[in-house]
Order: sequence, then structure tokens, then C-alpha cells
Amino acid sequence: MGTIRASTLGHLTLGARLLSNGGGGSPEQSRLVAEELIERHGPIPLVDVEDLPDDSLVIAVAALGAPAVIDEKVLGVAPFVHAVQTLADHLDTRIGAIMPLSVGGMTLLTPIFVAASLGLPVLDANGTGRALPQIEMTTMTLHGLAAAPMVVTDEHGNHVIVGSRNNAVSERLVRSATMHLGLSTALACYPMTGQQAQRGTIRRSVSCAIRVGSAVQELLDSPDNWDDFLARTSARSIIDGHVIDVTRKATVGFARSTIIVEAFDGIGDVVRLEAQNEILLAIRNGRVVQSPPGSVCILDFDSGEPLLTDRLQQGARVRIVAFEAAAEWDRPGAAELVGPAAFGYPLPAVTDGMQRS
Amino acid sequence: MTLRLGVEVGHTHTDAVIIDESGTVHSAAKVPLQSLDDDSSVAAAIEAVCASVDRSEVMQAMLGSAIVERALTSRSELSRVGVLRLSAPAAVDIPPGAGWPRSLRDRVIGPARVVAGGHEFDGSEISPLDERAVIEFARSLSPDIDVVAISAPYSLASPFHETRAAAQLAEIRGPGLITVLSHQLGSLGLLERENTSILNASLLRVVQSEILRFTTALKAAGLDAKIFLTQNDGTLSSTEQATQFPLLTLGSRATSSMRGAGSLSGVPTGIVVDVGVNQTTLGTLVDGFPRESTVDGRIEGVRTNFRMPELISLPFGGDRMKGGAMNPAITRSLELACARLRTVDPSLPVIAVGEASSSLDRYLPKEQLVVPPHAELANAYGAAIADVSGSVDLMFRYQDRPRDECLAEARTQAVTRAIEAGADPDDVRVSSMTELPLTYIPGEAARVTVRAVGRLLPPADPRVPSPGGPAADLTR
Repeated sequence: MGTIRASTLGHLTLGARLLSNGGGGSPEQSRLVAEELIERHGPIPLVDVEDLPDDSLVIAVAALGAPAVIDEKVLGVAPFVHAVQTLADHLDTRIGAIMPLSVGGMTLLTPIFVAASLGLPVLDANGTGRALPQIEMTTMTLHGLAAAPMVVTDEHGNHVIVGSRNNAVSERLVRSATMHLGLSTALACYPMTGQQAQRGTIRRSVSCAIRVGSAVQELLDSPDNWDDFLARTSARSIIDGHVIDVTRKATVGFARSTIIVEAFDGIGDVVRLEAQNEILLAIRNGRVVQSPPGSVCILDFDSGEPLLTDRLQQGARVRIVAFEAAAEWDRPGAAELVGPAAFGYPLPAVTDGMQRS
Repeated sequence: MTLRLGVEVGHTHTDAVIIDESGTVHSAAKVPLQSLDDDSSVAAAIEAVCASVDRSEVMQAMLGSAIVERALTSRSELSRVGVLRLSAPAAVDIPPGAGWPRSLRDRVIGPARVVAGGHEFDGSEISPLDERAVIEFARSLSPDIDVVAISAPYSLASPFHETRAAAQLAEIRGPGLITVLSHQLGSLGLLERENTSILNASLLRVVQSEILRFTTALKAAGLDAKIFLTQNDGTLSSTEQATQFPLLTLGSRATSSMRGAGSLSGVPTGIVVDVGVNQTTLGTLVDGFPRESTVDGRIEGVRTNFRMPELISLPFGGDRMKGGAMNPAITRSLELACARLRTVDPSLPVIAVGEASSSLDRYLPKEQLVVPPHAELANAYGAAIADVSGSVDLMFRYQDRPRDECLAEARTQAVTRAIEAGADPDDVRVSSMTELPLTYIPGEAARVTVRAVGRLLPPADPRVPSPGGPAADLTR
């Protein structure tokens, strides 16, 4: 068990930024909200799933909508509290802990809004370990847990309750609801017992993100200590080099881009990154070396700052790293749910540089 | 013949050049600064360059100044700003000034209020504007607050609540109160846009007094020239624009120096090393403009949506590079900085400018190095040759209108703005255009930013003062 204090938020935000795989909404905005709340309500307990009673209710929360709209309307506390309370009332159960649905962008910080306001602990777990675009793309789905009933709310106090046995259907229903609610909404989903959370979530992943964030901070302080960064985070270096080309394609709903990075020596490797908002694939010299649910992240070579794909330009000096998928993903069905095929790439899933059978 | 005067007020020297329309240098001067508040160096530099030219031919004067940087770092001359955010029930949890360094926040953020208002991405209202709350806010302002920054969600597309609130404030507080509206200078991202507006508002008076000083110096030298200020994107603003948007001049000196380096050397793409007295600044020039940084724009620790040139500053200059024994540590850090800035092209030339540019060949390989004529005055030259620009940041839904039509409209708007800013209609061109699809927004929404630049037209007749010339603004 740990504690989330105001001083933890810097690391948590940096971790969220890096682990968003170059996409996601701005975690900095949510950090400011979280800071206000911790100042008002005090530090928040971060509990491990073993510390929860088996029948305790866990609810996952996420920011839902369009990042560009959320940046304009600044998603705040009330919609999250409203969503979580409405879901708990609907289930007629008291809430035990709140967890982030994923580690991408602002979502990692949103449980703090609810936990601080309602005096609850944050559960040290999430359902993805990386940024993924759809609500059914979680380890909970892989372990047979239902995303519904779920509640989506806006800043006016409107809410929609969604029910379906199929998580992909729940995603579609809630996605169309968020459009009518103004595209800057709070989602409460995956209500589960402590026992189910133990089975279906990626454990200790909030504290892992804090650890990654603290390694990023050390890198920002002394960008030469790259080897320390790799050792502390267990990240695998894919390439250090120049961005030699960025191609962006406007497709409906997604910012697809292809980024080509050439090693600094100019005679070595060329790595191609395929992104749909988030980076999904890293392909070295024609061979896929990382694919979801594994994670590909991008940092500024000189400062260590985590970068966003939509800002990348030709000539940028970058470091590309990979994080292995959490062990909870290691289960039949993962490739169909979140592997390259789920994003329209006719490729087998690859992790740790090796093709999985 | 019409001439242009370029003046750069730096930290150690004031530089001045006079050039003609073809870019030929007619005279140049470099005058050391006695102190930071020293106005006499500006007068002395202007006097020195004017001695050999016909003063009536100097019709445009471009000023680059470090005054905005200095005001922000010293916090001394910044105004306290009232802040009004029109967004409730959205954006109510983060108070204006949150996340700012305490010393800056205490100095700048005045009375702040979040009231109902603002728009959605599709143009509908989040809430109707709470006009009563705006009136109450206006009445509650103490007389020492004479500037208010106003922001609202999606004001870039729907500015109506910002302009309405500004009109209400003007009605109650009269013309003595200035309002800065976020849609006029920011891009998407409410908090960043609000921060930009507040910082901008706090600098209005600083830049006004700088323009006044420069006007006085020009008058004293017997010049009747239209004044322009250099901006950090390498283009010029009129005094009217600069008094409204002083923040856009922040960091302009490095940009002027890089653009001057490119033009003087005839090398549009390369690494520019500006060797000052005790500081060296490096950046990359691509097609005559500095390459922008990919990292978020922060100003004094405040998140903004500002894009700044990618620069590397090294803590030494001519003081440690001229004469004496060569310092291998200096060579190493220069080589490292050049390596950081080199794009894919390892043969990129290095253009040396600034105070001590001539000593650079002791530290970097001569065959890659270009030291242009007048290298020591590259920043004043860069100010004098600067173009004017116009830019737009728009959101479109291609479902409602064909994409080609939207992109054409964005281009036309940018070009029109550049021409309004004084660009030669025959020379103006789109210099950059980005299109970003907006994730998860229905109707194939995209954000389009376009910038157009063009050569500044010389005034038609110097004896007919242009509307809103320098004398006119300052009496306003």
C-alpha cells in the first residue's frame, strides 16, 4: 500500500505522458485538478488489490471524448463523481476503490478526482498498461469481465447508463452517447468485486507508472543517464536517431501517421513507427519488433521529454523505447482483442522482439 | 530610394543597420550598452547609421527588443491582470493561474472569476453567457486593475461570448480598461490560451513604453519612419499589433539573428551560431526560417500554446573564445550542440554571426563554416529585412463542407491577413500549413493552421502618413 501525495503527481503525470505511446489527452490538465483536490482533501491511499475485501466494489474510470474538446472544456471533478455515484446507486453497492481504466494520457489521473472527493482509496491497477483507443480493449475483457453497466456523464449533470453483455457493444453505445453529451465526458465502467479485480486487472500498474515517471524526471535532470533510465524502467531501446519522415493521413476519427527514424550513424537501422493517435507498431528494417499490447514510446533525445506524435517533425532527434506487455495479457484471445489485426494490420502479434506462437 | 532602419537592443550592445529595398547595407553601427535602462545607446546607434544617408529616405524602422524577456524574468514592470473565464459548468476546477510559478502568479493574477458561458465544438452554447455575473465582476474590479484577459471554450470558432463580455466591461469601466480576448492570439487548448492571454495582458504597458522610447529616439534623429517590431516567428508587427500582442515579440532577437544570418550568407538552410559577448546561441534555419521546437512552449514556467524556435544556449561567448589559448571544452560543447541540431543532412553548413563570429573558425572546421559580411550585425539586419505574415488556426468539419473548399478558405484567410499586415500582394505566399484530424469528433473534423508571409511593401508616399501610424497610436 502506498500514498498519492501532491509531490507524487509530477511523476505520475510524466509516467502517464510517456506511457500514452505518443497519443492521448493532456495529463497536465488533470494534474492541476488533482493538485487542487489533494490540497483540499489530503493525500490519497493507493491500495493493492490484495488489501481489498473480496466482495468490495471496484469501479474503473476514464476520460471519454475527443482530446481536442477536453482541452477546450477542461474535464473536471463533478462529472466523475456523478458517474461513479450513479453507477454505485444503480448497483446498490458501496464503493471500495476506484481504478484508472488505462494508463494513457489523463485517464491515469482521473481516479484521484473521485477518490479525493468521496474519501476512497485508488486501486493500484489498470486494464491496459498502455494507451488503447477502445473501452473493450482491456485485460478485464480478456478475463471475461463485463464493462457494463457503465455510466457516462457530462458537466451539466446529464448521464447515460449503458448495459450490454458484450464489451464491444458497450463501447459503441457509450461512444455514441458521448457525442451527444459534448465529447468531454467522464466514464465509470467495469464494476467488479475485489476478487474479480485480482483476476482481471494489471496489478501494481499505478505505482509502476509513478516509477517510470520518476525515471523520466531523473532523465530530464540529467539526460546523459540513459542506461540508468533503461535499467530502472526495464524498457528496451529500439533506436536512437533522427526522424527522417512523417506522413499523416486524415482518416475518419483517427490521426494515422507513419514515422520513419534513422539511426544517428546514417548507415545503421531504420525504424518505422505506425500510429493511430498512439504508436502501435515498431518495425525495424522491415521486421515488426513491437506490437500491442506491448508498448512503444517516444522521448526527445536531448532533453528526455516524452513526445507526442502529432507534434513530431522531420529532423527531430528521438529515442524510441519498448515496454513489454503485462503478464496479464499473456492469454489466448489477446491477439484478436488488441493485437495488430485488431487495428487493421495483417500481421502476427510480436512482443519482446519475438513473434508469439 | 526608400531605406529601412533595423535596430536591435540586446543585453550588451545596441546594433543598427540601414539597408535599401534590395537588402544592400548602407551603414551599420554597434554601440555598447552602459546599463539595461540605457536609452542613450539607441539614440547613439541611430545617429551613427544616419550620418551618411538621406534621413528623409528612411521610411520604415524595425525594432527588435529584449524588453519583454526582461520584464518577464524580472517580474518588475508586469501589470496585474483581471481574469474572466466564460465556461461554467465546464472548466470550473482549475483556477486561473494554477500551475504558474508562485512569484509570477502573485504578481500577475488579479481578481479572477469563472462564469457561465462558452461554446461547444459544433457552435452551440455550453451555457448562455451569464451577463449579470460579468457586470458584477466589472463592478467589483478595483481601479488599479486596468486590463482583463477573457477566455472561453471554442472562442476560436465562436468568439461571441468573449466579445460580448468585453463590450460589457467597456460599458461599465469605460475606455480606460483594456481587454485581451483569447481568440485573438491563442490556438486550441483553453488553459494554454488563457495563460497566453494573461501573460500578454500583463505586458501591454511594457511594450507601449518601449515603443514610446523608440519613437522619441527616431524623432530626435529627425526620422519620420513607420515603426515595426520584430516577432519570434521572424516576421514584423505594426505598432498597433505589437501594443495589442506584445507577447509575440518574445524571443524575436534570436529569430532575427538567424534570419539575418541566412540572408547575409545566401545560405537558406543551415545551422546558425550566434556568438555574443558572453553567450552563444545555436539554432537551425530551414528555408530561411528557424526550425520550431517540438517540445511544449513554456514561458517562465507557464504552459502556453506558443511555438518557439529550437535553440541551444551555451554559457560562453567572445569573452572566452577570442585570443589566448584555445579551450578544448568550448570546442566539445560547440561540436555537440551542432550535432544536436543537424537534421538528416550531415553536411549542413554552419553560419557564424554575432559579436565574436570571427573567432569561431578556431573551434569548428573551416570548410563547413560560413562567415557572412556584416556577421556581427546579423540581428539588426534580420530585423530590417523581416517579412510580414498572417496566420489562422481553424476547425472544419469536412462532412459539412468539402475538404478542398475548407483548405482554400484557410489559405485565403491567412493570405488576406498577411496583406492586411502590409505584405506585398504580389509576393505573399503560404509558408506553412498543417492539417490534424481531430480524434473522435464526428463529421471528419480537422484542425487547420496556415501561415502566409510576404515582403513588406514600402509606403507609397512618406508625406502621406499611413492610418494608425506611430504618432496616432501613442496619443490614443
